[in-house]
Amino acid sequence: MIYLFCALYPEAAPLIKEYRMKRVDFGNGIRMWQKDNELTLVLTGTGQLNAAAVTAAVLSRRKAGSHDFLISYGCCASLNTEKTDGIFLVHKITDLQTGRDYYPDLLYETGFAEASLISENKVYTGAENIGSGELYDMESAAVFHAGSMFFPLHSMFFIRFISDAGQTENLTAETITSLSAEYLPLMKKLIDDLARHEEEKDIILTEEDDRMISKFAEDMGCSTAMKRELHRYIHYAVLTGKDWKKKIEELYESGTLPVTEKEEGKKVLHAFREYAAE
Amino acid sequence: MHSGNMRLNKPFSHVYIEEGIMQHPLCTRILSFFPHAVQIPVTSYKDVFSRKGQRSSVQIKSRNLILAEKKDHFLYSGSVVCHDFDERWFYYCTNVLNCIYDCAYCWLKGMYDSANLVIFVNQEDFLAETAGMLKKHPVYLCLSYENDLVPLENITGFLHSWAEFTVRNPGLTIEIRTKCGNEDIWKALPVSERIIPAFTLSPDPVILEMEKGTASLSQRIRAIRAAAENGFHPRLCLDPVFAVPDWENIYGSMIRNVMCEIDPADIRDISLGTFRLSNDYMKKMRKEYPHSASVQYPYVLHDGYYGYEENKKRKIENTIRKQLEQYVPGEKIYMLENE
Ligand code: SF4
Repeated sequence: MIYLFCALYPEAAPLIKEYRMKRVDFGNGIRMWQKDNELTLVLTGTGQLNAAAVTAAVLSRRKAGSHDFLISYGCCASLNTEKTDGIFLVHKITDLQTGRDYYPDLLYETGFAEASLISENKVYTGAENIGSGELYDMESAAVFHAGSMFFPLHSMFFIRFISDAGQTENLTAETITSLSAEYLPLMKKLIDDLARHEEEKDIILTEEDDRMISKFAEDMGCSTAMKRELHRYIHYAVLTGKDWKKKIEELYESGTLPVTEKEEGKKVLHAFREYAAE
Repeated sequence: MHSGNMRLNKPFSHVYIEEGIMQHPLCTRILSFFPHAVQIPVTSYKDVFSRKGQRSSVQIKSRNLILAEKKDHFLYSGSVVCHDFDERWFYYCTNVLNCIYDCAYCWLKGMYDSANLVIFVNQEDFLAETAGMLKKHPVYLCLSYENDLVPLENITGFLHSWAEFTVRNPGLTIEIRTKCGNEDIWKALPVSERIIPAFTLSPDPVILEMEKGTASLSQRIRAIRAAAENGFHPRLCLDPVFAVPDWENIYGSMIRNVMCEIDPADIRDISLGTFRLSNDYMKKMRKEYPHSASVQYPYVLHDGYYGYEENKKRKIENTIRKQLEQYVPGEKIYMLENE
């Protein structure tokens, strides 16, 4: 699942429309849209508190994890005379309140230009001397902080398009939506690429294997520690291409299993280790 | 939607640079080797290197570079699971954290959360600390303890700096351990009995399966010969040895091969030991690398370290020792227990 977090509806509108996402009743006043089991879009509202609370609530209830992705997407102000428009992948987020820097892990080729960003809980007027960042927003640090409790750092993407330089009087919802729509092809490419991406699965033994191992361990009279060991031996047997299920069958067929005494179980475990390690 | 994986960035596509060393000449030199990398200023290298939530097993396929200043702990005392070659003042130092190679069994994978490479550019401070220590006692210094400096020499120049410093300081002996096949470096470094090239030797099947990116056995042999021909007395390290199928023949034929190509009289000494790894590192590596057979092997835990069962370990070490003794005298072979 890809979780897309936007602060405002005008930022999200082109994506909702493009993917024909359906409104979902998540409760707690959180506005959410979804497309199948691929894409969930959430509005966090503006500011650090809203962003952190909504991000954490959604990811926690949805049990998001290491095989999902997070994209934080929206508009920002430019702090830099060289970058006055465009869309950027953020490579460094500085939380001005805490002074803490956050670094997403930039492992994937996304095609976006990159920039650093300063995040603070108040609206930037253009008059403040903020420091050395290039972009400014009010949510990224909070989304990163909450998101990093659920995702590895390379699974989070912070994408910002410049909508202003701090003078927001003339910035309308329509302007934001039209800028977001302008960058839709780039966003669509990232979302579609992530949806297709399959990371190498960490799973070596399936749930069915685990059930089989539990039965095997029980018939071997294994303690918890012995069962852990058995699991490790079988894990290794799988990696080295051994037919461990056949080996277990043989132990049943020969009457070695089930054991009647714990000592016998220890011997069987030892023999199984020899088999796995050979 | 059909499946297809996101393309990874090329290695070293990004360089994180501590703000305090931006103007350091070595920083400028290193950056010139990465003209297309995105440069990201950081306050402290730890903000990137020690972040929670890194997946080193993914990161290692697209790792980045961090340029930093080492602030303290320039020299460390050697660890108990390392050969100290009877040296009383055995130290190691870390000009670089992590290694450009990717050995499946490398303890750095258990030690760090990150696969990114950190280069400490303030070599002058390493030398100053060593000079201070040399005023008190001699120093035996292992340079490539948590890295391999040879493949990085082009961009860092650390080995030339250390070698020249060693020549000027008679109390200092340095060991340069490597799996690199670079021959030229042994022609370029000043020759001294106190500069010890130490080559890790593994049979090709082990190199192919477990030592990704490192030189093949024949390349390593050529590098050893280049070192010997230029006046160095190389150390050979058969450490770690793995109980791969048919290990006896595989290691035996590697030893024959090496000893045919290199005059055993040129060899300074040989270290020998089977694979071992601390409990904590093993736990972390098993979790992060579930597909790695070399860490998932059912090793036994002994005194806080995982390794082969005592019988197997002894058998491997004794067998290989005998094979080596056909070429070099026994007192030149160092094993962990008899040190
Ligand atoms: S060469 Fe040494 S330091 Fe480098 S990855 Fe291999 S074991 Fe680790």
